[in-house]
Amino acid sequence: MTTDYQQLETVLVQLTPDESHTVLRFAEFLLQQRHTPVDARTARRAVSAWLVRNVGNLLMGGEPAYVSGDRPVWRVPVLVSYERQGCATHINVDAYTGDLLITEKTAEKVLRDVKAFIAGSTSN
Amino acid sequence: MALAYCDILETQAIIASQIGHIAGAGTPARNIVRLAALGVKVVWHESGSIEDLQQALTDYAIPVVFLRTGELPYWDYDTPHVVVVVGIEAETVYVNDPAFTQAPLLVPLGDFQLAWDEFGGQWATLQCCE
Repeated sequence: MTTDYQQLETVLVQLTPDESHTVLRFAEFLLQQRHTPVDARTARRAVSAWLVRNVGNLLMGGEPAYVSGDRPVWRVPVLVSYERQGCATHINVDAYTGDLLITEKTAEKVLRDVKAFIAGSTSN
Repeated sequence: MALAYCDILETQAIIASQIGHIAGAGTPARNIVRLAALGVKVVWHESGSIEDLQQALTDYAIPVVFLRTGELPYWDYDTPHVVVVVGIEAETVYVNDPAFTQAPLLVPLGDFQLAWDEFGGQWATLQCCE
């Protein structure tokens, strides 16, 4: 495996920065496709449903971003669309199980973040 | 809209206060049951199906549905929203949307289901008290 990495590195150093970036993005895409049974849409919907059920009916999930690592997650923006538009905070969703990574205090925190966002004291 | 059907003519401010509305965030959807204090029977549903909505209409209840407008063809803005379902046919759902004066509005069944699924199929029924 080490040898494989060295061979890949030899190829990578010959690429332009843009080409390297494209290759890395493609590798990340392959990881998502092969190892995450939970897709972005499912993650977003889980967050939207939780927000409306537990925080407020004027909030919804935005377009998730995949965060790789030992425990890959979908990082889902919490979107505010009334009073002021934008992302107030984020909620992570386990990319393997689809579980929302929240605690019993998350709803309070999200509401605080939303209020702060609307008041204009934060910008995400 | 649904309250007016039951001859309950409270102001938006009173209704907002009753359900614990917070500017910009709204209120947890199940807080809709607090409207019972205004004189209607309210039942909250964690999830539902088109058949559930049809049954509610058959029972003369008013189905109130939480959905995402981005999937509704007559909206050009993507936001969480609430509509009243007033009829269902094979491939069409008829809704009264408080954001529009025209009523009812026709929504293709598939679009309606996508919009509703965004929030896990949460809905409520209101019934006027005798």
